[in-house]
Amino acid sequence: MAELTDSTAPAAPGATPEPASGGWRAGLSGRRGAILISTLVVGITIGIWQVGSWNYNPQLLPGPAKVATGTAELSDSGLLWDSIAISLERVFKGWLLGSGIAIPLGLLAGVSRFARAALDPFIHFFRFVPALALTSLFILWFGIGETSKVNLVGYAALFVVLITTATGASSVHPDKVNSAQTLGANRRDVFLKVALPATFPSIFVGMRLALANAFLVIVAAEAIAAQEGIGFLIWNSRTFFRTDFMFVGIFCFGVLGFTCDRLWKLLGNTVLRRYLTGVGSY
Amino acid sequence: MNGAAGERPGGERPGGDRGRSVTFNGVELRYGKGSPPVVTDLSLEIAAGEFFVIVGPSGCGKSTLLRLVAGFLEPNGGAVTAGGAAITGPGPDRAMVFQSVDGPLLDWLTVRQNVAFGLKLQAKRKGAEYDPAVVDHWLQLVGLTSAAGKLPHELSGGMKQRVQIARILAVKPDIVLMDEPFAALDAQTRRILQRQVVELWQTEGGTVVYVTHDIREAVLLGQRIGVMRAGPHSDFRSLHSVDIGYPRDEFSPEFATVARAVEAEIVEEVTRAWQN
Repeated sequence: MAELTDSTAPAAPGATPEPASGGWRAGLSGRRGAILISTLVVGITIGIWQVGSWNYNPQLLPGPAKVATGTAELSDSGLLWDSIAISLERVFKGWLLGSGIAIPLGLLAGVSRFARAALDPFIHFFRFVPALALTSLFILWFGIGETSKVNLVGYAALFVVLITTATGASSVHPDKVNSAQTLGANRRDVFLKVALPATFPSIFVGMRLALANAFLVIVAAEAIAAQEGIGFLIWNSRTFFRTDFMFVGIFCFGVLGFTCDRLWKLLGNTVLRRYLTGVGSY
Repeated sequence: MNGAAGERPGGERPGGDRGRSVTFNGVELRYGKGSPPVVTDLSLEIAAGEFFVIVGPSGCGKSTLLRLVAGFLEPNGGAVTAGGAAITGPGPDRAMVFQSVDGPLLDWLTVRQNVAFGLKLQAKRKGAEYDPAVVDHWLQLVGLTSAAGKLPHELSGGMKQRVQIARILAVKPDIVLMDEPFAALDAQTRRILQRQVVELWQTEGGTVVYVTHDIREAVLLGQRIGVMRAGPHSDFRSLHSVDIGYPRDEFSPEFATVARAVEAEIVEEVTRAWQN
């Protein structure tokens, strides 16, 4: 038997070298530097905001201190946490609903010319119809309950996931498919063991973008015919001129969105890591 | 024209008689209606167990021939057969090693899982369990035992091509199709892998059809070398027998004689292609 030596191994197997500072991505190197800069910039911004707010009527621009008291007030009454829970539930249900419909359709459109021809007109028509334009219709059709809100979020999530999934599924490296075929893979094997896992990065990115869409739409969904949720809180605060509560609502969206996005990324970096080696780290 | 099919220049192989013949009989292939055929009336017989190398100017249809044998393409005219039987589609009896370093491997599977991929598919078809010892054997043969748990993106280009070779040879194809497998690698790595391919062919047997644009590589590897004409309407211009034993010394006068002859023909074809 020919015993082959490991002469083509890279110089340092397994080691992923830290990118040296002074590369084309200028600035501080390392994770600590990045965190330091982020914290510093956020701190300065809050400082400017506080100083700026002294020059305005707090009903127009409440400062950080006023917003903090507002947060405490809403938190004590329990309204804050109820609003967060109900809005998150709507966002997740809608997001999963939209993705759940979009992924199979996207895969189908990506691998089958026939399905693509059939779906294309609808995809490229409806993706330009904003979810906001459908708010009233959805309430007429699905009532003023949860269904209309979840469906609206689902609609907003659907097209991003569908298009990224279809793009990913249709751009699987042909050598991957051909090489699997020469190893004995039939159509089913190619789909399940090659095309589907090769599309995971696109699905992952699509769902990440769709999550942001879901947050965008929830405000509209809760503007009409809702009695709870962060969107409702913001709209309702207008009635009582509680600008500080509006700020609390706005912050809630930012913080929740940010947290969800990080958690999704974490999932990508752990459970799905091996499928996402081609995805950038932004 | 010399070197009839069936001869075994380059010495006998202990690997035995595995492998099947490949024949092209008056093959014509065009990509899309109206476009001129890439190859026209191309005929060739590759013997079972032979190491056959195809060279020619770029765009002459070298890879097209491999894709016909692999079953990715169907000829528009004539017939391509493997072991006397018509080729109806891709199958593990005619496995292919691709030039692309990053394309063919499954990025989410470890080296071990990539090598086991074809074996698992075969085992499933037979309703059996695959034998992990076969994977170990192949990992050892291509020197990747210590990298077995790594994902492809952690490997060098040369290592990735060795994974490709291991997982293709592990399913024991009768015909191994190699499409410029080392073209994307650095010269040193290429040299080592070329030697390994000959060694594996000698020990494992099988018919090898190898496409390259590198004349030195062609003379180093092939029992016979087929030189293609510049396309379109390409076919084989000549066949060269390389009657030099393995491992071949590229500085020997015999080597130089063959290389010079092949080179002269290719230069002629390339020049002709430019003038067209």
